Amino acid sequence: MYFNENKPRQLGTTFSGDKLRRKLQKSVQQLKRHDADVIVSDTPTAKLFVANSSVLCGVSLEELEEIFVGYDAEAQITVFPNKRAYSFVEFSTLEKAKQAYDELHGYIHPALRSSHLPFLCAYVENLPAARPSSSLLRPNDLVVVEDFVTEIEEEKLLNFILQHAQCEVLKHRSVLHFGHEFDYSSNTSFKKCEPIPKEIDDLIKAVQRYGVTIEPDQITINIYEPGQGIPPHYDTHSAFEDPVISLSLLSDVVMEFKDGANSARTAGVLLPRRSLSLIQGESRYRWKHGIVNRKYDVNPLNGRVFSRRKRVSITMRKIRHKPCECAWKEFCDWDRDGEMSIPQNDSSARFIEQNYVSNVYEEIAPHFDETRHSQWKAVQGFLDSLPDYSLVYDVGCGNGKYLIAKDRLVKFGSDLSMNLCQIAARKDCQVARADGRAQPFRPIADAVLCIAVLHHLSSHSRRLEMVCELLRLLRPGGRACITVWSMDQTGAQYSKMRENKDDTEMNEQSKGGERLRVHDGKCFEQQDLLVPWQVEGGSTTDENKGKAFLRFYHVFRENELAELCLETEMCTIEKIICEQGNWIAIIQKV
Amino acid sequence: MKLLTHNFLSSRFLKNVATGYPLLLRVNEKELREVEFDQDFVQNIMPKVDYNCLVSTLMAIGEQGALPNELPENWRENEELLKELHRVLVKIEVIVGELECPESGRVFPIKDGIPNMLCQEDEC
Ligand SMILES: [Zn+2]
Repeated sequence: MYFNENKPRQLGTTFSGDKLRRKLQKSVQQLKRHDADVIVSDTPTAKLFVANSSVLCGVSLEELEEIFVGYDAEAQITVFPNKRAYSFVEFSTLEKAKQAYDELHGYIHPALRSSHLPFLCAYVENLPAARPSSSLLRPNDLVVVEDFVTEIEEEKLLNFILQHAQCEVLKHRSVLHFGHEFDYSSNTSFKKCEPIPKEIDDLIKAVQRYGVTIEPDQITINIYEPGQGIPPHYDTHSAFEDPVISLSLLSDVVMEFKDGANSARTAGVLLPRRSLSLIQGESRYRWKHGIVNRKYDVNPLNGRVFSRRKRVSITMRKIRHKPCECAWKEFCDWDRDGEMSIPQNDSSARFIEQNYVSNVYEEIAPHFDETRHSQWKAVQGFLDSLPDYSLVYDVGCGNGKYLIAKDRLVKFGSDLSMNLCQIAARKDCQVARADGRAQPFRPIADAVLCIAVLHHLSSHSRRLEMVCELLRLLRPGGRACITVWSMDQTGAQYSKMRENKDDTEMNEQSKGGERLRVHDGKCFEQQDLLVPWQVEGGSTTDENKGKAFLRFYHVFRENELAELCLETEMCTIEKIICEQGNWIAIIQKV
Repeated sequence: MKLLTHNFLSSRFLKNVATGYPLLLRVNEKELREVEFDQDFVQNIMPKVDYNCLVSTLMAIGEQGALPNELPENWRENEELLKELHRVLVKIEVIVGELECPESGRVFPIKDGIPNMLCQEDEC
């Protein structure tokens, strides 16, 4: 291959000739596929198409700025992070574009820190048309009002703020409080501080004229230097009423929203200078928001790179004096009088499993079927070890992925989800709908499979009952293969898939207690949690897109599965295997 | 649901049910599916099949046909019999009907060919 990952980087090298021409041709074909409206020009223009220049190739915005501003301080860069391997640069004059073209085409610029691909350039007549704002992902209920204050009003507010003596400099940003401030000594409440000044009060009145009914009594002013940001967070549910109101001054900025119910969904929202944002409803209670620490942002509408200037935000909130009663109870800091706690008795366990296992699987069944095909080696090994015509029950057979194989085994499956049963039945699998703890089969099986099911039971006693039930199905000497999610997800595909770039996440939600928490895609912090199901693309119906599907999981510690099996006093353990973040137990009935 | 599947179903999981077998089958809708005859399969599965259950069920749904009440000693070599076993075990599909627990009388519906054996938590 021409560009070999393993080859040493040859910074400063220029490529030329046929190879370079062919490579450029390929890139231009890519451009025509993705952005058909862009017209490539045979004669020089002031606009350059530059391939191998995106974050996908390991090129940062800073590097792009550094390289192109060197040719033209007014160069305008347009990028499509994580979507295209190319960018566009618009120069202020034709001459500057020509100079950049001549020097950069085929050149591996020494300013590149991780990319080792030469830039491939072509002149273009135009840039891709801006995407319609309706095509962008945006958190529900978020409102951004542009030009909420005039430039004169902005200046007045800034004069007041920047001259204020109490400007306190934090590690990441400067902060100023009015009305109330968080009492770090008690860590639970607010204490009164400098009263809300007239300047801010006028602003509050304007916000209320706009239709906001709350009476903000806690004002936080943040002053961000370029490059400074704030980690993704929720504004604590119970601490403040809805909405959280914020005015942006001095600089545009892109606020990153992350769906707490689906970590694949992130939305960059442009907050223009002098705009007011109302973070409310779903955008407040279900989505985290934050600002990435960087000096450049990308306008999500047109891909235009812009540099941040010093920015001032005025956040206006109303302190709440009772537990939050929002509609997003899974994400809420109030556990609804125990309803959202880790089940402590059988009826709460049933409630959790009904709402966060059974109902969810019924709804996600079609999408589940599209995504569940790969098989685990250890499970396949177990099936291969069985003599021909062994009688096998697959408890929690899902879409029938272990039933469909033509492998001279006599297999029957059961699942709690009727929709999954129907999907499996359509593939000619022999299935019955049943609960994992009440299996409708004769107890003469040679082998039982229980793949990724046991971790959906929400109390120890119910998990124990299920293992007993699996063993009841077996003839003496029969074997079972049980897999569950491991608490340790190192090396698992799941965590790689969900790895987050900025790992300085901050979560103000109250920690501790026996509350079920929504898993945010990182290490498991507790064993009992709600895990978002990602519905994105595929043939899934639109109405399910963006809906939160949270499944209950009890992730297993090391040895826990073995201990649970032995607690039945009905089996011996043949082996315990760890595969891709799962514990797999092969046990034998005595 | 094939009659092979029915042969392995039991309502033993219900509270106070000792064996729950065989389940009484009532059929509202059934069909005959084309499934290639696999002699090895029939020969190997029969030792696990409860023959009495199979015959009584066939009788109940009017499908006994040429199947004898008792499995003859030489069944493995009797190709005609093997083919008839193949027909009743895997070709007949029950689409709509119900299953009844022989001890408690609890009825489980069969819809779209899928027996729904789900019961309330307090039933098991
Ligand atoms: Zn809440």
